[in-house]
Amino acid sequence: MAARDEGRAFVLEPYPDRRMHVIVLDDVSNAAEVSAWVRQPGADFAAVDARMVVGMPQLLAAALCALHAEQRGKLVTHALHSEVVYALSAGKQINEAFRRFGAGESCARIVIVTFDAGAAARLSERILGRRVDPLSLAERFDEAAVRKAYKVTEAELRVASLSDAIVSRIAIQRL
Amino acid sequence: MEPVLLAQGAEARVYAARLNGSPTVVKERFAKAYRHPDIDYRLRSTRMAQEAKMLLRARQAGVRAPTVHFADMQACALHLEHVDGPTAKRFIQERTVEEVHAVATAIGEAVAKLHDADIVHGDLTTSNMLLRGGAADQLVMIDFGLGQFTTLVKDKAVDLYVCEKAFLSTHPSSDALFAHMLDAYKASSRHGAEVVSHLDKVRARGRKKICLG
Repeated sequence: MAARDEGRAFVLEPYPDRRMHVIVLDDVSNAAEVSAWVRQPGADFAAVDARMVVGMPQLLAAALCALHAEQRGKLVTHALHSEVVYALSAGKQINEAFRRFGAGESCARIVIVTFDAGAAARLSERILGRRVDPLSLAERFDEAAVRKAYKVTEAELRVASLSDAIVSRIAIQRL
Repeated sequence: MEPVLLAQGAEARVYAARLNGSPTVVKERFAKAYRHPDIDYRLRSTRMAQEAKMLLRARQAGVRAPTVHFADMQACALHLEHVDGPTAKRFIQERTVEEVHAVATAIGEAVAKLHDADIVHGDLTTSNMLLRGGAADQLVMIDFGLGQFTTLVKDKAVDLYVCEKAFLSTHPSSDALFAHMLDAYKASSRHGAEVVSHLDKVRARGRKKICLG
């Protein structure tokens, strides 16, 4: 029997017993379904709009913040997976975070983030789309939308990469 | 991997560590047993937050500063990018006159950008400036632990005064170098002339007396 497909797994160093599974899909045809699943109470994954993701460091930073918040009992959104979407945002507004970073009903490129291997295996079968390597996220994103969401200026990009600028904002979001 | 202690100060310890595969520097503000635990935590967490925000603001102003990778709110520890390169102190001691001149210009311009963004670093020593990859045009400002946001000319003048004292005490006969840095500052800061003229007043009375007006 073939090994089940759990996407690509990343270990976050301060939490060695947790594994973050990432699945990136292009040309998704059932985004409306995905969007409905992720909205159900107790959803075991996060669905992120791939146009807003510039690379793995951004996702790792947000996942780390979400795990840290969970460990401290300080989840803003009351669930670990929704917290990942919230943590991606530079601001503290939950609504805004989901509007900007959550995968909507017509989203063609979706990043699935989950700490549940079972959810990763299930979703990799149920979401209809073309699988893409998570490391290729850095090659295709909506730069204008990303820069607007994180308020990154020209002056800052002269002294830091876009990815580093974003990681700093994610790390500082709750302070 | 075991973290390696790099430095210890009055309120924080600095470790070399790793986070998600990249080398980091962890600045942990440790607990003080002589303070009430609640007050202690509040002081440590607000100072950590302040420093992290300042690092971001510095960058937004166009000054190189380490990336903040993670803020551990339990331990009050900032996980920062490890910047690879010598301190400006070592650079100035070891490099040629032209290179040292270029760095003095870079320092003046960077401080001007910080001050124009109403950031006062608070501890402008040449040990708190790194040159990424040993390049004179890659000045990175670190340790904003004594920094503050302020619009006052006198605070900026005091910042320069601290810088001058540090410059002259770490680098013998560097008057010309500091003057060169001030020129670069004056040329690129919006209120450069005003701050530098205030610096004379600060020199006359010293750093501390400033709070008496």
